[in-house]
Amino acid sequence: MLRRNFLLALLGVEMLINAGNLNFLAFARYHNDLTGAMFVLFGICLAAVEAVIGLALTVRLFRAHETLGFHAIANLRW
Amino acid sequence: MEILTLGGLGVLVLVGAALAAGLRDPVYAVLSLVLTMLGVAGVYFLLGAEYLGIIQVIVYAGAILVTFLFVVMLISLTKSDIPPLPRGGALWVPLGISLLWTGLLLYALQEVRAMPVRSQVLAQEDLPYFLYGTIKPIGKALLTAYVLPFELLSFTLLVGIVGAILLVQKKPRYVR
Repeated sequence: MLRRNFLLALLGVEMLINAGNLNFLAFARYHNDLTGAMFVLFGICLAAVEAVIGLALTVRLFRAHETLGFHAIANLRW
Repeated sequence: MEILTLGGLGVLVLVGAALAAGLRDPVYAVLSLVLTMLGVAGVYFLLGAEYLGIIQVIVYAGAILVTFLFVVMLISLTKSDIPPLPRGGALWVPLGISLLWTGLLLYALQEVRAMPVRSQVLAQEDLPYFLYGTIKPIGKALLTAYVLPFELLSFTLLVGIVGAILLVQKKPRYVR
């Protein structure tokens, strides 16, 4: 929210997903349980999908608006 | 020794994340996020989950952030497109809230040690501690208990590929 830019917001989302993954793995390790490791594995794959879709949207938004600032793309009708 | 390594990796992760959030040049922001991802992979190794650490390096630091770099170059985003960090309350209030939250979490984590072990979804009594991060138990779980999520995930990846291709077409045919 501080940066007001679509791409850097996506970067922040990646960071958040990583924080969640780290928590999953830390507690799974604490319990010696593989469930958390599975969640991390699925989470990494889903983060990859999310990044690809988000970046595709980024490219499209930039083509349409020539900028990625939140002020310009606040209106999402097409 | 372990605690020193963990501290060093924590500093690496935090510095990388702060730089990624604060740098104005998007290329440098993405590169400092690579630093963060490598630090997180180091923590995974330290936790004994070697396979996940390797996956983290390959998928995150390797694939996802390189895709980010591709997009930064594709749309020729420059420093001037990104506003500088705000000053005053707009910067310090969110920072204060997150620091407060971190302190609260650290306080709450002191209780964790006393928590009983409850989760035994995959019974791991036969899993020796040092074999946790190897590929064998993970592969076994993926193809037995987690086979449905595994297949659904592969389908999700396919949907992601097709969706990305549809979205970036120059003359979109199937996107309204």
